[in-house]
Amino acid sequence: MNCQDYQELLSAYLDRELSQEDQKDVAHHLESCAVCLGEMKALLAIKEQVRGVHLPSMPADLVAQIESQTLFRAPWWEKARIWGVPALALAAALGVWALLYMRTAAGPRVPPNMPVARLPVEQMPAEHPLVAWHTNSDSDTTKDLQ
Amino acid sequence: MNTPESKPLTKAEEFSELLRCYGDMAYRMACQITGGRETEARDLVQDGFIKIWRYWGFQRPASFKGWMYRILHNLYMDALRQKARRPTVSLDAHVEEGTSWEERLSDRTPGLPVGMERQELQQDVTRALHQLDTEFRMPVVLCDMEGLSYDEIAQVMSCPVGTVRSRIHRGRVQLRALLGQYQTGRM
Repeated sequence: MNCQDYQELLSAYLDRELSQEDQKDVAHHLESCAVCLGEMKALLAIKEQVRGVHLPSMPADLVAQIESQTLFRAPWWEKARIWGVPALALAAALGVWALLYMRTAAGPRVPPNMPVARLPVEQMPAEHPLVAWHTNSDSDTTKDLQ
Repeated sequence: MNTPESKPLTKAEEFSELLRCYGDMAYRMACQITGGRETEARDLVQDGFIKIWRYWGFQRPASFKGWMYRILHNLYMDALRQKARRPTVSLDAHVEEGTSWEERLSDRTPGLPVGMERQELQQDVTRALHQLDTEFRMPVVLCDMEGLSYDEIAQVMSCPVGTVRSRIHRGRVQLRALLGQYQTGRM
């Protein structure tokens, strides 16, 4: 191996991530090579500097935010208990309304050929078809009874 | 964790404990992954812990730390992919810049006496780290800041150990070059 190859192994050597054999081999080379030793020292300094970087702690409000999204978030059965009653009441009200609407939409049961009038039959002119229908149906009923 | 007599912890108690023990670690990691953008780091940690909460009942990883880092890494990668598909411009970019933890760090009054030179160096290292690509920044941070082994990093990043080894080395070499540039620029 030449210096280039050894230098590729220097980071792993510093992190003690080489096999025992390679670790010994690199150490042996460093004893005799000032260039690689300099490289190793430079990398060690970088490692130490990165280790020394101070980073902030987790902000308290972020902890609270996470807790509110996890620990204090109501499970589905709790939500069902809270929202269940109003949801049922709403569903019942909708059901009643739908029933009433359907009954009204069906309208009064009248014969399909019955004419529609605004005046009472007694006040209608004699030639009005409704008067004729009324009279006929009366006479038909009388006939049926007879 | 529990003595035979003690009552087993509920999911909520366990989660609360995890949040207390690993919250700072997750936040530090998120700050590094996102390159110091505080808003993104907060979102990442929040999404990460919500995911942990959802899966905690079903999954009990051997190493919680590794699992947590993997979740954060995957969430960030998903977000990057989404961003690449639908590029957006942040309306509060100026606010994010102004409130980054990096800037706050430089403004803070430290409890221990930290020399100007040291503080400057820390800022340089942070700046250089943020200039690295995520693929190099992640393994360097996981190794040097969080003390993970190459095997653990490979699991977090879902890549072979050999890749981790070369990325850490290349990341450090790049950091060295960047720090050299900053120093030359000041002279």
